[in-house]
Amino acid sequence: MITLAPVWTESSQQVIYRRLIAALSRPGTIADFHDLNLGATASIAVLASLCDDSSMVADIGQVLTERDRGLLNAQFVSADHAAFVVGDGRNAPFQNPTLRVGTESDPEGGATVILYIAAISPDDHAITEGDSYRLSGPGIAGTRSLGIKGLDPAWITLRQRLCDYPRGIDLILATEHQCVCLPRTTSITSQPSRKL
Amino acid sequence: MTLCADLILADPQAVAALAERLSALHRVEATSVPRAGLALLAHRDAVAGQPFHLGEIPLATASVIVTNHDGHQAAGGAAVIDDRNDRATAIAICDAVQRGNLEGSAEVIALAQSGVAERQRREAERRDVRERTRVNFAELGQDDEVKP
Repeated sequence: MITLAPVWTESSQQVIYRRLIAALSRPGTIADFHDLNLGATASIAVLASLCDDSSMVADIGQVLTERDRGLLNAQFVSADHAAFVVGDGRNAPFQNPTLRVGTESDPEGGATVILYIAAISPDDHAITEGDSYRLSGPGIAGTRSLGIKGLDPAWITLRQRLCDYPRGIDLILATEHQCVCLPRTTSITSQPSRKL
Repeated sequence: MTLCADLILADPQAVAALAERLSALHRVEATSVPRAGLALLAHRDAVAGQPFHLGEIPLATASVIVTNHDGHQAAGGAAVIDDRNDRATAIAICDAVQRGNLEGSAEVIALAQSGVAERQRREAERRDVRERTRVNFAELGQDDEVKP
């Protein structure tokens, strides 16, 4: 009777969730959803697998269509109340954004920020322009390189400013079919000399 | 009664078949993911007016937008006491077609009428059962009082 994109089915969301958890436990590794033919961008896939009708979501970049909002069935609130914030990473964050960072006793209250970007690469070579970052911290053996295209560096600056462990925000950068997770425990260093 | 309340009493297979025909005729898009689960049935007590939950009920919900070949759109939705979300979807499609007076709305109304007839049949049956089991409490105990 009606055809729903696979991203809205439980079986797809379970696969997305497992890949997301794997990517979150290995910051900087890329979760690829291309083979799932989800019929939606990776940022929608992440939201669909993490949110339900009790989730508070802020769409600060107006990246969700009215239909996406209906299908997500989440509560849409302002950014300072949201557990999940979705935006367009290509644009700088709005002025003095107030995002939830949790507290010392309840660090899980920190927001998960999902940003749409143009491309990501684990080896700096697959993308021809963008910025290169070096990651370290839990889940990373030594350091890991990450090439990102289409992310305004102000987002990384904002993340550094808000992260005061255990408080902070968790970043998920999503392209059309891929995403990479940068939890608050990950240290991110820009490598300007290796500007791609 | 609403159209949904009438359609839920119509033959489920006929409703599903009509929804299939309508979705072949028009473009149907879900505006929420059809879901089936349990919901708490909220009630208010008759004495103090306090709200309470009577218990859990199966609930299936769906909402759709139907677009015909001219581009006319109509939204419809359904929340039914049932554990099958495809039943809610079928009723939501019929609801949208009837609300938008799109092609097929006459069939929807005819099917809803069969639901009305089914409700009247059930109500008549219940009336009949009540009549057959009527008890006059005023007469109880008058013949078998124990005399001292």
